[in-house]
Amino acid sequence: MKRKWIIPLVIFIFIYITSFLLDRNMIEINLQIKNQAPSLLHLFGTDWLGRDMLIRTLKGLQLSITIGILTAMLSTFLGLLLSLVSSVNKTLDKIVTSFIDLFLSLPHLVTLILITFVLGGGLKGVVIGLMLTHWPAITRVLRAEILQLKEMPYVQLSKQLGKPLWWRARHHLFPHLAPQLLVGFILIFPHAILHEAAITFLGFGLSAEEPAIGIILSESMQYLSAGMWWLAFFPGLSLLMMIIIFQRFANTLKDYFGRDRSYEQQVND
Amino acid sequence: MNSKLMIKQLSVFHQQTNRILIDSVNLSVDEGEVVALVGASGSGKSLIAQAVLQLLPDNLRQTGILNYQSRPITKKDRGQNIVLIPQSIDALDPLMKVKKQIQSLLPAPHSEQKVFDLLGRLGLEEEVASRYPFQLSGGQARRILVAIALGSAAKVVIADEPTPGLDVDSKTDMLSLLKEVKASGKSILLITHDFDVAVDLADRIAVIKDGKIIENTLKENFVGKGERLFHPYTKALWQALPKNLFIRSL
Amino acid sequence: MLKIEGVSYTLPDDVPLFQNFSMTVNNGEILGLSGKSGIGKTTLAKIIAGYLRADHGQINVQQMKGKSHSVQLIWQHPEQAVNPKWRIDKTLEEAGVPDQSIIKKLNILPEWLYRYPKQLSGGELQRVCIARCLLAQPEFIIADEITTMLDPISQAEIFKILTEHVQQNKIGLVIISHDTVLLDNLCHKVIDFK
Repeated sequence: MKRKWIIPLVIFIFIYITSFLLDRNMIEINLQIKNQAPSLLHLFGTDWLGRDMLIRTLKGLQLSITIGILTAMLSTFLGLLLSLVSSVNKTLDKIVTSFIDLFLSLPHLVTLILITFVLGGGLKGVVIGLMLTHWPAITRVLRAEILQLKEMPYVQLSKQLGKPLWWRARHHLFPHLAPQLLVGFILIFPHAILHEAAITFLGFGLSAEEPAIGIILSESMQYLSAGMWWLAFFPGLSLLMMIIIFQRFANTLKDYFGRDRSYEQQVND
Repeated sequence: MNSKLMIKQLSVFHQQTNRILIDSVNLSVDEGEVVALVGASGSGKSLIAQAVLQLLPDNLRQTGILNYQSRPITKKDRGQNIVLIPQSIDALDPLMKVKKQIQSLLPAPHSEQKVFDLLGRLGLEEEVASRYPFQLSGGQARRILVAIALGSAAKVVIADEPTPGLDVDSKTDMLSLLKEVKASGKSILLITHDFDVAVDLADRIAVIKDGKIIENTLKENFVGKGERLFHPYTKALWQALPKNLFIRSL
Repeated sequence: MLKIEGVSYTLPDDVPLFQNFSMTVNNGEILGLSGKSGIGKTTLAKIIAGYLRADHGQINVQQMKGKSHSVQLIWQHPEQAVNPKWRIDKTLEEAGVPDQSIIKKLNILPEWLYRYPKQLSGGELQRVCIARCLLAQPEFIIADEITTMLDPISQAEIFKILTEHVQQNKIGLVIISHDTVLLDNLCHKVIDFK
């Protein structure tokens, strides 16, 4: 059982750490070996400036994952904050739920492009844009969970024992929300990465000198017609693989928490 | 004696841990007899019903002999000769009208009149038959659940906790319904935590504790201070009832 | 003295549940409240203990800010009344400093304190809930069908401990139950609700 999620996680972390060990200066321009197809020396081939595509891809993945972790954390935190706000009273709940509905009814990518564009693109724009578009799903889950918890006798009883609001949130609500937060974070993460790559590809995201997968893909477009397929194929495939590996880990973890709950309901009569 | 339902050396284990939940239980229900299986929650009483009906959760394993009319219970018997009265209306299909529901569960012929007769017997209007389960009151729901058991050709009815958390009136109501089932000549295995219900309805009472049957005695022995009872736990149980010594028994 | 005067409560869909209900509970008095299910006994209990607000009427005991309510409710289902992720010691501490005499009185064994609610039986857990209630030092206790799910022995034990404790400490106790025999045995006075 444990192997099912340990292996993808280890592969994932291994690749992430490897990408850190690579120095950015290793992506050097060497026009003598430009436009080479994949070989044993350059596994992913080289580009029109003679840069090694394997190193570029790994550095690109590093950036993607970092942005993914950062935005997933920020979105989850925003979700927690908003779900707690919505639990205060009915008016605030209405405001939060209408915001959730608004954001869920708009196409993700369009809102993302809009926000990033307004913020002037770049790393800051991308991170804020991703944060502001990925919170609704987790907020909805957390809000439902809090609503249910607030109905539980032990939470109501706590108030009658004279415990203040923050104490009840910290001791009664948070322990039950923690698994949801973890699952939420893990589910947002691959989304955030793909969306970052997408808007960068479209030219609204990171600036061209960053070694991002989106940049690599959009640059390679000009050379694809010249038959240099490896410029897009390997970086794209690597990104996809990373997402799939992580998704596997996420699903097992989600099942794990789901199973935990069904176990609690087991009748032992 | 011709026993309708015979449970011999029934044990239930936890598959992984091998923990014993039911330990070599013997119990028989004779023709037209009501046997009550009384136990606290966690005593394993519901597991026995589940074992008889092959409804145990996947992680449990059962051993022992289960006989219907002196032959092993077959798959066909369950549902046809042995039926269960479920605890709540949730057991019905929420999207199907009561009439159709009853018809689908009863043996042929599936005539409308048969359903109406059955409802009439339990004091329900014909109009109730065209309702959906959620439109039924608590009392009507109980009648429908009992009606399905009553109308079936089954000789053995298992009632698993028929009075969970009901007030006195609803409890009395359910008891009179079960008496109706008894009067129709069916045998009943009544599983309950409620001593009053058991004493009121059953001919014989078996007490289960920690997966073992510690007492199996006629109802008549539950009198006075429980001098005619065998096991000290049963005695304590009897004496602790509010109508007996209650808190003075401790 | 706990004084409830002219309390009315209406359900969300404008169905009046009960109207103009009054009763008084003296310190040290044990009062029974019987009645059919669905007529609002539990709702009344929640109103008196401050969980719900009545539409009309007055109750002379209110909760002080930051202090525990002097009317404490014991719930019917103990497993819902304790946080499943807390150990028993934390559950008890929520009400105040655990007083060993109370813990002993309710036969709560020391090793239970390190267990989780799932590892205790219904009767054991209800005793924990009662201990928590007593630790909050209420002047009045409302016991809402607290033994419906328990076996007769646990039921007798719990009521024995509870009734003795309230009489020694001059606490007013309201026992809500559908079992009139039980109420007649325990209470000074039984009110038939509605």
